[in-house]
Amino acid sequence: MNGRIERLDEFRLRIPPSYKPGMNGPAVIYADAAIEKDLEDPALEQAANTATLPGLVGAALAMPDIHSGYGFPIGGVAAFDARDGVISPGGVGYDINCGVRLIATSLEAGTAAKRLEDLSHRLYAGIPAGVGAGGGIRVDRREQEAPLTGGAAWAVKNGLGRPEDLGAIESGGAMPGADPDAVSARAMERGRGQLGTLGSGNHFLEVQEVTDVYDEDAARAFGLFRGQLTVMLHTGSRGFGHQVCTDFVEVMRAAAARYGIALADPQLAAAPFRSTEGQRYFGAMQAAANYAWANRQALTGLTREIFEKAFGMGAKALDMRLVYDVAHNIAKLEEHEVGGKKLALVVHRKGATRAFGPGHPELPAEYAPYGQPVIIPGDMGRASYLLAGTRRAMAETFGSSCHGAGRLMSRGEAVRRARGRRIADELAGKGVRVRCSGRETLSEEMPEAYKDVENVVGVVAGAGIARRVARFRPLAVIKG
Amino acid sequence: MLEISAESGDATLKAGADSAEGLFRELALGFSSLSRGGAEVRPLERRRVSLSASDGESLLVNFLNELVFLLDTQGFLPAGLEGFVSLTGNACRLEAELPGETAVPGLRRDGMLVKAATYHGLKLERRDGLWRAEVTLDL
Repeated sequence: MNGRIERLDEFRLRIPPSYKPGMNGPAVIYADAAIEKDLEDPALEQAANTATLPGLVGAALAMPDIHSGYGFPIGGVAAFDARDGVISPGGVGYDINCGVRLIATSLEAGTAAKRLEDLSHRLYAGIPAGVGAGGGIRVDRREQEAPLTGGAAWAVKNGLGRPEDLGAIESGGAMPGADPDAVSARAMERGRGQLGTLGSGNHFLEVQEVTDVYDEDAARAFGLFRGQLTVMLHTGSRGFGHQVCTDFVEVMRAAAARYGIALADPQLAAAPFRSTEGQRYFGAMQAAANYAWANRQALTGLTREIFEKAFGMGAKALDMRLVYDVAHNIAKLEEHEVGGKKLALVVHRKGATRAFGPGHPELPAEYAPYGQPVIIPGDMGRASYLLAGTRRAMAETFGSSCHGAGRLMSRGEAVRRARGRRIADELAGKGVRVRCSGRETLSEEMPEAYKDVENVVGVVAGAGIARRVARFRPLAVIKG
Repeated sequence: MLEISAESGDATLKAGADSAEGLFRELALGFSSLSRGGAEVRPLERRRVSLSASDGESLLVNFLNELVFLLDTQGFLPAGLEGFVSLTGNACRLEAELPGETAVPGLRRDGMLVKAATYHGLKLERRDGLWRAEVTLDL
């Protein structure tokens, strides 16, 4: 890739359309010199491959947390014209609507400190997590379609949240085009019993403290203050979403051949958005997105109950208000202005976060002057961020930004480097309590296995596609 | 021949055997080895698997995704494979029984959860009388 990639400015690189045959536009990567040093060639190749899909509008984009995925890179954003462009399961990923939510409390971290040990025990015991975790909400077979169409509202209706939570979730916590009939019996089977479970790998529930506020007005509007105790939750659509993706990669492989779509990588399998296959995938994907929102909402309900018991306080006094919930593996039909014209686009965000700018009609009224909250988890030893979307993101990235720190090391390398070390003790020394069910999870997920989120956030802020609002440090981490 | 490596968010199985059945058996054992986290998988019960696909690559990915489904919904892991696998022509087929076990002890604590088999970097070939495959599993 060296020599074929151009630096546009301090924060952006470009792979020209001449890089490989079939590219319908350039690929643009948000990276400064420090991020560029760690860029993987396969991920850059995947960004270029993405640009070969039909109907690409503008450039195939990659955020500074880019790393190699299947088909599309993780950290990728690509928009396709809804009239003649494609939709691709590889552009969404296996964990459909994997996402993050941030929950505020009325507590100050300093005064809550003496209860944190007990709280972390209670959270570990009360939040189902880990490989093949059972313990989720058993939904009657006849009721199984309800979360697929209702999303977070289904969980609220079942006592796992408050009606006002829904306004603080991207898309209100439910995409309206979910089509349960497009979902296979296998996906339904895998999804049964996994609602209200965290899962394994990089999914987590983290108790945090707001350490820095960069934009006092925005932070006030989002209900945040310095020293506040908060909760960040990261999970997705579990086995349900994986099965939907698995099913439709097969469907799209056959469809791509039928529609004459040349694939630079089989995991880019795609069909025209308006085709029968495209619409069925979009319907099934929305059902999986809604399942994920129901899952995060159910976990929010459990978390609130655990906090109330741990602190011996009522819901009103604890005031665990949902700040926001963002999806980072999703395709959405959105209207964007391109070259002075409004176009309906199928925006794929895979390991990327929607970051709508101030005044966007989809934002809650109280957030609208500041832009959409963009939640960026870091690693379990350093920091996480809350950013806000910008008008520049609307103009440059279809209203998108990064989604996290991004892995730096393979799991195997992380485990090898952690050998002989006591990661839990090291984290405890920094004031972070970690509880996880997997033997190797701590090693795989140790802070050095990830890029420093400061660098990633520095690039999106420097490029103007999001701006800093607040920074958080971890206090207690629950992992699968 | 079986090699397993865990990478960033995924794992790779590399297998080789002198027959298509042998290749799929090695892949099944590799899947169990990755998932069980060191625990023994005993042939205590059986599952019947019947699959067809338009090409060998698709049959291989579909087979491993069948194992993902059996693990995720029943906790079943295979300890072997007995049956027939055809990887030639445009009507590839697998008719097999999987001896194995459900609820393998230690799975939850020590195992890696395989969530999907992918076409990413997929290789399937017959060379020098040996079937070889390389497949990436999403963790």
